Amino acid sequence: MAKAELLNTLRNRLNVSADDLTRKQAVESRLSQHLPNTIPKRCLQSHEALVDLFQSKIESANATVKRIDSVENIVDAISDYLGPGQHDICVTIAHDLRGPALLETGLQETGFKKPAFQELDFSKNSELTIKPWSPKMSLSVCVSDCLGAVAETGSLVVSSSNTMPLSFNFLGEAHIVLLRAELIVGAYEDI
Amino acid sequence: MEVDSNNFIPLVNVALENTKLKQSMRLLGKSLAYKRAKVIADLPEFEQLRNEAKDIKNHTIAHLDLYLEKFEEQVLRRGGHVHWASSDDEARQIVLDICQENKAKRITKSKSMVTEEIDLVPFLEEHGLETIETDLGEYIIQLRGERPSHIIAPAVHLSKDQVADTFFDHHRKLGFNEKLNERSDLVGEARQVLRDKFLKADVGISGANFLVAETGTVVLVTNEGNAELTTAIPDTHIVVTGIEKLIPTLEDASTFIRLLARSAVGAEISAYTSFITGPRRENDLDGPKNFHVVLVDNGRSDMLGTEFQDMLRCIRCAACLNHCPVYLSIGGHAYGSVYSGPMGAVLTPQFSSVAEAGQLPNASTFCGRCEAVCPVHIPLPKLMRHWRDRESAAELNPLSMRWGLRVWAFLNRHATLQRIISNIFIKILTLFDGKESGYIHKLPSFAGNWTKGRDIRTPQSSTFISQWKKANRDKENRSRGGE
Repeated sequence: MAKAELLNTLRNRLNVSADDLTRKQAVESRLSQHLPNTIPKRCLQSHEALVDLFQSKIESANATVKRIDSVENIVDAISDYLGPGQHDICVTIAHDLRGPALLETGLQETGFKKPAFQELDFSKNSELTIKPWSPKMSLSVCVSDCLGAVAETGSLVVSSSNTMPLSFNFLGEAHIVLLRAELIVGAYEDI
Repeated sequence: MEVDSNNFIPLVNVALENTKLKQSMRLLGKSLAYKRAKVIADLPEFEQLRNEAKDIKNHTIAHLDLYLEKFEEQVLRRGGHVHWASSDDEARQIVLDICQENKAKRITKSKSMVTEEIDLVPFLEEHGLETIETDLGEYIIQLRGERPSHIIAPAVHLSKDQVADTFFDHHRKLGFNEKLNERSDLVGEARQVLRDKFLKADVGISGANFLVAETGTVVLVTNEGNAELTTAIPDTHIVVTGIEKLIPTLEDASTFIRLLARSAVGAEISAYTSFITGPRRENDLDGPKNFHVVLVDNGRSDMLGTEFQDMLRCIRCAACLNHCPVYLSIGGHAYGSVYSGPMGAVLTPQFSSVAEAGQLPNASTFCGRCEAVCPVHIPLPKLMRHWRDRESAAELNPLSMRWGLRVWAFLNRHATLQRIISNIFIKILTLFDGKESGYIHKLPSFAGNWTKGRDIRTPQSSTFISQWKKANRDKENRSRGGE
């Protein structure tokens, strides 16, 4: 059935015309304004409180959280979480550049550069073996970074890209996500 | 839509005798209603969000033609395809054509009530396409050859033991020879079976929780991650969805996401919320190469401009089912429709006919809980009442019911006569409480249907008005005595 037939049916039912400019303007205005609706008050807190809120919410969804002071400690933290023994892991870092770019705006003049996730050195831990990703492989542990996180419900935000396959997030038995605390926001609308 | 709703009363009688179903329904009613109340108490803005959601939907429905055009424009811009289907026949054929064009043999499917409504899976299988449901509940009932008994928990009517038996019967041929008892083991076995299906699928079919007009985005809300694997791995993704799922912007999607999981399962958010905007981009590592959206009308446009238009706001959260005393007594299969509970009692006559499903709107006590918990304020009791009117006007309800209603209406217009007859009935009913226990355990003739399953409270000695008059007389007498 043609689109035209369905649209005509809708317009007849609504008793409106296809050329009604007022309606078109109402829709264009609604789309262009991007007005946020009600945002829960819990999302409007200090960043420190939002980080705590994020942790409590994601832990209530059966995730575990480990806070690390420095990027250098990430490999050891992953190893600690997995426990003793040999582990095959697959690592995908896709969004890391966004973090430092946002963070270092005021620090660039001082020559400070925050270590990036891409610079993680897994070779220093002999129990972790990096495996290449393939969409058809069965993975045990996947390590990735993320676009950000929402404190409101303890949600991580990931997106597909040329370095981040979407299925990567769903095929592992364990998914370890690296998240810069600075990227935690209050509400969905803040992402 | 295929329905068996004319068998509602026999199906109810079967359901009421099913003790396992009773246990499952009791658990459902207690757990989800409690969880919902708790999670809503933690969100002071919930009422405000409900009101906004109602307004967003009303605005979108009033401009549905324009938002559908905008949505299509955005999907096309990103390399996707949009198909328009006026009926279930057309929708099924469109999906089959896409599958055949892509030489598909194996299909994975995530949960979608629209695909249930149009009977898509049996149709595809008739045409030689292996179609696997990947939502765990849907997978279980597919193995058992059943239909969903709940719109978000399709296998809620089954116990763990029944699921274990089903897996044992069907998975043995795949090499799983052990009968499992633990829930986690059952889930693990299903995951192993389904993983293989995900990786080999040629086409993935999903529904949509929301369609965002401004970006052409399909929003999917799941708890198992199966929809994401269904949509990301195969080369072709087909979205089959109703035209009423449109919302204007991503900001509006946030509002609905705050309402949906809270209303549905008493959680703040589902485990996975996906925003899918078109096929994979040039350098993406996975995602579908072909992206199709099938917009299904199938009776929805008939609701526009009628007393049923409010129903187009429905976001299929199932809060009305989870709080309905009728649904929680009989389960979903008794409704003889993929849509059950209060929302099903409104939608099923719309998608079939009042002749085929007119009994469903009668299955309500009108307690109003469905309307009270609906996240978009749909006046479900009022809509069911409209269907009752139509059924009665077409003289489709039983003669005894029509005459009963006429007598009742006549008495309500003649108060004195009503009081006299009420007093007579009260006196007769009191005779059946021989032991003056306060309850009548058995009534004769057709009234015995009522006491077959429950006791009835013995009425007080007279009507309220008679007691009021007597109290006033006594008061006057006491005043006179005092003078």
